[in-house]
Amino acid sequence: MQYAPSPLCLQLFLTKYPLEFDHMVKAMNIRASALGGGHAWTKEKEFRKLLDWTLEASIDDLADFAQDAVGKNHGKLLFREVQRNSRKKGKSWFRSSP
Amino acid sequence: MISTLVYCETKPNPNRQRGLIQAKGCLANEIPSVIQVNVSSEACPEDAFANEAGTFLLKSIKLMEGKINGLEKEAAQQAERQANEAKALKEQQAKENQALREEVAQLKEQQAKENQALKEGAELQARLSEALEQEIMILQPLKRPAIGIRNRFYGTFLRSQERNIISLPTIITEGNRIAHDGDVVTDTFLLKHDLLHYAGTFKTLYGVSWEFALGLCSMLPVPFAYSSF
Repeated sequence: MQYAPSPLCLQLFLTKYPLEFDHMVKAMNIRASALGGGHAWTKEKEFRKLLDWTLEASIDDLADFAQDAVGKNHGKLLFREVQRNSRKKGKSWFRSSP
Repeated sequence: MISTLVYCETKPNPNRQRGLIQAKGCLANEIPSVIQVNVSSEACPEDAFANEAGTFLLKSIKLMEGKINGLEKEAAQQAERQANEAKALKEQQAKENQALREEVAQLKEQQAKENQALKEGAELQARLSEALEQEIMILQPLKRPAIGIRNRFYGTFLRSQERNIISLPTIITEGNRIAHDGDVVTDTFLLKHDLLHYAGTFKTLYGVSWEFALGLCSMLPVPFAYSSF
């Protein structure tokens, strides 16, 4: 799947469809952060379901996802599950950096 | 040929027949007085036969004839001169036209060269613009990570100096996050432009191929990928 729109097309697209896929970007980053940092990754099943849901979701579904604050949306539930794999927060600025 | 002229004047007669007879009689009377005369002119010396009155008339005729011949000759010479002048003018005009044509051809050639140079310049400019745009497209996603990483470097040093700067933890945390966390947007851009060569590892980390991720990330503004989760 190769998709690389021009900046203008991207700008127009973003004007019309603002950020439907940002949750997948976050989910992928969570996954990579966990695996790359040597943490456990236990949410592969939820991650795949979220990916499938995203690919099949309509624009309305994605809009519901974006507006859902309590987790009624199926995609939102899956996304929250994926987020629960996140590392512990706090004191990350004491990490191994030189 | 020798010119011969008998000239006389008669009184007008209303009767044409009688007038004719009278004129013939008058001419006949003048014939005995015809003598050999010289009516030569500068242009045409010759002898002639005429009576006394005819002599003057013949001289006048010869004089007129000479003048007419002179005028005709002069006119012919004038026409010849004009023809020569016209011919010379035409030749000069032709030379000037040829020179103008050559000048126009040179100008056209020069114009064509200038146009070609302008076209090549425009093409070069377009290629440069395209290359710059491409470079910006590549570098734009790297701007924020680069700044975050360098901020962390200076923040870490300041922390080791025990400087009491409130924003230090935030700067270092942000830098750590950029350095250690997944960043699917930046990684797909780097892989797309052959600046990273970990396509297989990418799939292991992010769960999808970088080409697939590009389809999702291309729809997002770059800064959004760095928002916290």
